[in-house]
Amino acid sequence: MNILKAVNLRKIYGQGETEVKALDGVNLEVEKGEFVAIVGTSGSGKSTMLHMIGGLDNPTSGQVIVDGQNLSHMTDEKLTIFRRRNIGFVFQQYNLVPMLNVWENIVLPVKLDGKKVEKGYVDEIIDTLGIRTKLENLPSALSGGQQQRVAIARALAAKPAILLADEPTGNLDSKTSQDVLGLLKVTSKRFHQTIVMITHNEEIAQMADRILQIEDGKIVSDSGLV
Amino acid sequence: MVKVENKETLRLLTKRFMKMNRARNIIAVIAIMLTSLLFTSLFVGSVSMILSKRATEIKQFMDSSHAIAQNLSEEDAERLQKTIEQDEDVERYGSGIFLGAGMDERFGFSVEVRYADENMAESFNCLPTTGRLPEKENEVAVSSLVLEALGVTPKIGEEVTLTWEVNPMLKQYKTDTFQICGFWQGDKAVLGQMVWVSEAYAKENRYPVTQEELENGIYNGGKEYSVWYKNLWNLEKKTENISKTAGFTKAGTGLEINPAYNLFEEDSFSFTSFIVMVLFVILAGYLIIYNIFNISVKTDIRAYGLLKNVGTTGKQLKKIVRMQAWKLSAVGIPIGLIFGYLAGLCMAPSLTADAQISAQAGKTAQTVVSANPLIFLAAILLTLLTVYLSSLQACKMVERVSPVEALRLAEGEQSHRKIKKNTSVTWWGMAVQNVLRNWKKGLIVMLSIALSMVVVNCIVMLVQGYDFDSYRKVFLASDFQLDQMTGSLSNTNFNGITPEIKEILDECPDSAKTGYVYYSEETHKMEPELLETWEAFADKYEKNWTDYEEQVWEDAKASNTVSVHFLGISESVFDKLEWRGEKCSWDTFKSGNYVLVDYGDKYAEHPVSYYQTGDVFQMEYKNGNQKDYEVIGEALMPYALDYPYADLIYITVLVPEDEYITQTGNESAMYAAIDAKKGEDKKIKEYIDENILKENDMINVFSVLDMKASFRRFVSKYYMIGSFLVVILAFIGIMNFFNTTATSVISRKKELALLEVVGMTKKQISKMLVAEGFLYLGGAFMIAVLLVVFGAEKILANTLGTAFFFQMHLTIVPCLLMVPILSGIAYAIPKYQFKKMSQESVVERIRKE
Repeated sequence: MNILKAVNLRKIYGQGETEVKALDGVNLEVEKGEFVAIVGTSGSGKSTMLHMIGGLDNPTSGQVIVDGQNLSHMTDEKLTIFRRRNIGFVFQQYNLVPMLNVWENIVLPVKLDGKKVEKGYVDEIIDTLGIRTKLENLPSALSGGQQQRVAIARALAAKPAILLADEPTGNLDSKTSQDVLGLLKVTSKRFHQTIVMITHNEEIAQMADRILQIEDGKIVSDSGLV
Repeated sequence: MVKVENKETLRLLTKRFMKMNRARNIIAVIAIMLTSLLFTSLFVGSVSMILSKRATEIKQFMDSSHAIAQNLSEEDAERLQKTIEQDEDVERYGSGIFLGAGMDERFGFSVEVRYADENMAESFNCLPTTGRLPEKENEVAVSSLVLEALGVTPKIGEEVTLTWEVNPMLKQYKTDTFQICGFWQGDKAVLGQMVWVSEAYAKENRYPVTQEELENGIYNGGKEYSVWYKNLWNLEKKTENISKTAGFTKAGTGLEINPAYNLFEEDSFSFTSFIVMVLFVILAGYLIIYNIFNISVKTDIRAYGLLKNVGTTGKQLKKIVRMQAWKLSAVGIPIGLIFGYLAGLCMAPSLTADAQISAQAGKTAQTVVSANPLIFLAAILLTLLTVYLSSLQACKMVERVSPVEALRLAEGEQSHRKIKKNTSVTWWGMAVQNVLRNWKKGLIVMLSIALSMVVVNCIVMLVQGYDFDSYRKVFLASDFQLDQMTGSLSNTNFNGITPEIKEILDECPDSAKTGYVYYSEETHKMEPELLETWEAFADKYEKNWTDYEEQVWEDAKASNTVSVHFLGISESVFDKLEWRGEKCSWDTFKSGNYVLVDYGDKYAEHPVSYYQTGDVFQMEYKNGNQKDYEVIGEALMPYALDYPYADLIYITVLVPEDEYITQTGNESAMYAAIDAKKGEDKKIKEYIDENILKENDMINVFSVLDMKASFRRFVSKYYMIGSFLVVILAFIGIMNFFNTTATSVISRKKELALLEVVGMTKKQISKMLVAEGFLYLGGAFMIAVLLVVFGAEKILANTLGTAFFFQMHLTIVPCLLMVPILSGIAYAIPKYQFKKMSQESVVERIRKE
C-alpha cells in the first residue's frame, strides 16, 4: 500500500535568467513501513523535496499525496493541522522548542491536537530511545545526540503516517550517528513506521531499505526499482 | 471544524514565552500601565470638569432643574404647562412668576421678587430652611441677606417692607409690608437674592405683560417653568420635543435645556477635543506597545517557526501572542487605573478652577471628582483596544511565519543589497551608509522622534504664551480698585467711594499713587456737527437695534440732547489715559477751563471723534450751572475705570477732580484706583481689609493680587495638562528611540558578526553603531526645529493661542533639553546591546542566526 506518492513535482525559484529548478518533475511512491534514504550532493534538491513531501513548502506544480490526502489542495491552516497529525520531522538542527522541557517537547504535537497522550506508547518510545532520565531537562542542557533522540521521540509521539528526517546525523559524531541511525531503524521495525531520510552520506544511506539518488532536481537512480 | 481542546498547551507555551522575555514584560507592563493611566486620568479629569462645571453653574445661575422656560405670556404658559403635564419623560415640574427687581439703596446686590411653587424654589436652591413658602397674600419667604441689608431680624412673623419694580420702562413701583413666613441663608456668590411672595399676591399685582413686551426685554410679570426629566439621556431632544409640541418654533423660545446639563457644549471643553484626546492616547499607547511586541516577536521568531513546524497552527500562534498581551494587560491596567485616578484627583482642582479670571477674591467654583465605575470600565476597554491594535502586527507576523523560513532562519531583509563601489570602510562612513541604505525606515524613526519633540516644544510655547500683563491691562488699570457697583444698573451705587473712605485710602502709607474717578449722568444739547456724527452712526447700525434702542435714538433726536457720562479724574488716572493726537499736560488741564472728550465707542468698537481739539463744549449741569469749556484733546478712559454698563447714545467727557466737585458738589467717587509702592501689594491689601472692608463689606475690592492668583489658577490648568502631556510624549519619544536603537542592533546580529569575521574590531563596530544612533538623532532634531520654526508657530497662533492675552514666544529650548537624554540613549543602548551580543562567540552568532 502506498503511504506516500509524489506526482511530477516541480519547484522553481526565481524567474528568467535567475531561474533555478530545484525540483524538475519528480515521481515517487513509498510503501507503508519502508525506510527510504534519499541521497544527493549539496544543492541537488533533496531538502526541497523533503519540504514538499512534509507540506512545509508548496510545489510550483505537481502533487503530493500522503495517506490518500492531496496536500496541494490544502490551506495553510489545514496543512499545519495535517502536518501535526500525519508527519513527524527530525532535523539536522534538532529544532526542539527551547523553552519547553524534554517531556513537553515530546508530547507537544499530541497536545496541540487536543488529544490525550497515550502514556504507554510514549513511555515505550522514551525507553527505546533511552532518554528517561532527561525528561525534566531543557533542550539546552542536552548533548547533540540526546537532543536528536528527543526530536525522534517527538516525531513519533503523534503516530505519524511518515517520519521525515533531514540529515538527522549531520551534527553528530560518528559513534552517536550510528546510535541514532540504529534507533531509527529499530523504530521503523518496532512501530512499523514509514521513514524518509535525507543524507549526503552514502554510508549512512546504506542502513535504509531503499536508496534514491537525486541530482539536479531529478531522481537518477532508485534501488527499489531494481 | 472539530473544536480542539488544547488550551492547556497554549497556556503552557504562553507562560514559557513570558518567562523567556522578562525584560520585555517589564517594559510592556509600564507601557500598558501608562496607557491606562492616561485614559483614566483623562476620563476622571473630563468627567470632574463637567460635573464641577455643572455644580458651579447650578449654584451660580440658580437653576438645578434640567430644562427651563422663562418670560412666558399667559397663553404661552398655558400651552406649555399642558404639554409638560402630558409628557411621559417628565418626572416633575415647577412654575413661578417673575414680578420685578427689589428696589432699595441698602441692598448693594440684585434682589428679585417672585412667586415660586416648591419645585421652582428648589430649582433656585432657595427653599426656606426655617419656616415655609408663603401661602397667604401678605406672606414672604426671604433670603437672609435681604433681611440683613434692611436691618430686619430674621424671625418668623417679623414684618418687612419691600419695594419692587413693576415695570422698568414705565418706572412703576410698588411698596408693601409683609410678614416673614420663611427664610434661608443667602449666598453672595449667586446671581441674585430671592424674595418669594404668595401666588395670590403675584397674580394680583403682576404686570400684565404681553408677548411684544417680552420680546423687547420687559420680563416683569412673565411666567416660568422648570422641568426635571426621569433620566439625563438625550435632554436636548426631549426638550426640543416639548417646545415643538407646545408650538414654540423660534430658537430661544419655549423650553430650553439648562446649560449646566449641556455637557459638551462648553467651548473650553468640546466633545471633539475630547475625542481627539482619546485618539491621541490610543496613538501614544500604540506607538510604544506596538514596538515592544514587534521586537519581542522578531526576536522569538525562530521559536514561533519551530512551533509551526511541529504543528502549531497560525491561529494558535496568534493566540499565544494575544494571551501574552492580555496577561501583560492584566498586570499593567490595574496599576494604571490607580495611578490615573490619583493623577485625576490631583489635577481636578486646577482643571475645575474658574474659567474666568477675576480680580476679585471669593469664587463659586466647585470641585467634584467622580469615581464612577463607568470611567474605569471605559479606561479598561480603551486600553485593551489599544493593546489589541498594537499587537495586531505581531500577531500577523507569527501567523504567517513560514516553517521553512524558521529552519533556515536567515535574516532575509538585509541579504539583497546593492553594493556601491567606493564603499568607505571607516566606522563613521559605514554608519552614514547604513543610515542611507535604510533611509525609509530611518525617516520614520526620525519623524516619530521629531514629532514628540515638536509637540513637547509646542506645549511649552503654549504654556509660556499666556501673558499676565496683557491680561491685566484690560481688566485692571491700577494695582487696586475699589467701588460699590453691582452687576446691574438698576441697583448700583456710583458714589460708593465716600469722602471717609477716600480719607482712609489717602492715608495708606504703602501706596505710590491714589486716584479717583467720579461719575454723574448729565445731558448735553447737541451741536449740529455732533448730531451729524450720530446720524452717520445710526445709519450704520440702526438695522441691528431693538425697539428699545430705537426709542432711545428717537428720543435723543427729538430732544436734540445726548446723555453725557461726566467723569472727574485725579492726576494718577489722567496719567493712565490713552491719547489720540497730542497729550496735554495735567497742569494746564487742572485749571478747570478744559475738558477731555473720550473717543471710544463701546457699541461699534471703532474710535469716533465727537469733538476736535479747540472746540468749545458748553456744559449744562443738572443743578443749573452752566460753563463753557475748551476741548483740550481726545483721550480714552481705561476700560477698567470707565462707566461699566451698556449705553447707546452718549458721550464721555472728562474734567479734573476739583472742577468736578466744584460744579456737581458730589464728593463721593465711583472708583478708587491705587498703585502700590513696589512690592507692597500685600501690605495694601491688609490695610484695605483692616480699615475699609471691616466697616463696609459691600465695597468691591479688585486687586492685582487676586487677579494674579486667579490667573495662575487659569494658567495652571494648561500647565497641568501641558506638563502631563510633555512627560508622556517625552517618554514615548525616548521609548521609541530606545526601541529602534535596540532593534537595529539585535536584528543585525549576523551582519555584525560577519563584519567582525572580516576584521572589524569590536570597538569599531561599537563606534559605528553609536554613530548611526547619533545620525538618527541629529536628523530628528533638525526636522523638529524646522517644524517648530516654520509650522508650529503659525498653527499655534491660529488655533490654541487666540486669546488676546496670548503672546507667542518662539523657542526651541525644550527640543534642546531633550537632546542630552536622547544622546545618552543613542550612546548607551547600542553599546550595551552589542556588548551583550558579543558574549557569544562570532562563530556561534553566525551559525545560530
